[in-house]
Amino acid sequence: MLNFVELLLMFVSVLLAVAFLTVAERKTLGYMQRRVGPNAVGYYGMLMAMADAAKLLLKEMVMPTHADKLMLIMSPMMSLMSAFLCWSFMPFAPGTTMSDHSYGLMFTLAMSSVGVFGTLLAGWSANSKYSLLGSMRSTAQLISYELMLTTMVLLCMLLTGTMNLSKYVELQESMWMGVPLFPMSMMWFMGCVAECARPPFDNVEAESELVSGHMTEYSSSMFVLFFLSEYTSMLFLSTLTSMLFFGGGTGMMLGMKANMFAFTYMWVRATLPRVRYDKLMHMCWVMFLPLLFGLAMFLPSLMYFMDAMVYTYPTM
Amino acid sequence: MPVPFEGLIPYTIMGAFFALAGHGVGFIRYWDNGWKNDRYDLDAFDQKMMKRDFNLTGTVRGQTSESVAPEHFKTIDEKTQRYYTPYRDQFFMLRERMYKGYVTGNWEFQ
Repeated sequence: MLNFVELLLMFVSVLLAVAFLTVAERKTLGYMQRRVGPNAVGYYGMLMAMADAAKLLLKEMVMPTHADKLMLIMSPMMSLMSAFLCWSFMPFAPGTTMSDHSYGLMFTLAMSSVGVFGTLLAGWSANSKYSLLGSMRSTAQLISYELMLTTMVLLCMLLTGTMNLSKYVELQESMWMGVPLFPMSMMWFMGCVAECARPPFDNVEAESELVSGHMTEYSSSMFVLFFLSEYTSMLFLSTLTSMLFFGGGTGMMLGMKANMFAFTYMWVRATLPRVRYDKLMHMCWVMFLPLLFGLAMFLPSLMYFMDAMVYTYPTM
Repeated sequence: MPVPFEGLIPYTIMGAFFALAGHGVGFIRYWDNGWKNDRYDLDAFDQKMMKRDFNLTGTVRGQTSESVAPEHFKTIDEKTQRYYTPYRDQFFMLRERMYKGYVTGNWEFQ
């Protein structure tokens, strides 16, 4: 029974934090553009997320005529499930996870990969060429940047020698991994922004130039699922950034670090113009990936070399 | 233009939810473990030992200085069977149910 209470507490916390992330984004963007943002619903607009949810859920669900209806309904669920399942190994305090496992980080990688299917199938099932083209575009982007993020996670695992995130945080008590891996942590953050399809890499649904990508045929509650999954994965990647490179933390401290990165997503959105799609792909495949594969050869060699030094020169 | 305080409220709320998930659940576990912190990164042997300690003391991190185990320790036989089915009032694992056809519909009553 107690287990269920704990799970519920963690899950509801994540859900509500995600809900308030949407308010945070709208308020932050508002102030960055010298306007007030939402300020009418609740105390200074704090209940805007609830009002948005109520509006979207009460709207009529429009189903395209020749769409594959089952797949159309299933794909946002797949996205959302994968985004939430990523949280299951996230330690909010040492050992305080939904599931503590030695291969937690590997499971997280696997779950985040499943989310791509949601995007892909959404475009396929909607029976609309705009959706299909949009989903092709976003799938290519997501797969490319996932490759990059996975390589970086593998390198972090290599340095710490553990896939358990609580252990990983414990090992950073002496030094944050972001110190020796500072260039990689910057690359990681750029990869995260692209993986969430956030501006300046939001070619998935570039409102001013294209229709809304794979979500073209989605409305009301099915759209809510996609919307939620986007913000869930955004907060998840912010938290993972603070875990992997900036020492993680317990409860409030972890929240502060995660908030800082979540804020940076919005800051970037308010500041930078959209990057062209071919440049986005170029950055991943031609710049970051070769660099990362180079690092993947360099770091083990360096570690081997430093280990060997100890045996060669025992006084060092 | 200074940062308006109301722009920081949602971030504070998010931080509070992280605190609830971290400190709140952490405290429940601390209490449930008999005022000891949770263990993590456990292998099968650790799990087995914690199960033994639970059977001996009532908490997974419990320790006792008694040299003789309590009487019930001899006969404890914990089974991990999750799925109850009204058919013959039995417990089944999901795999057994699928094998016997209760899930797929090929009923096998014998």
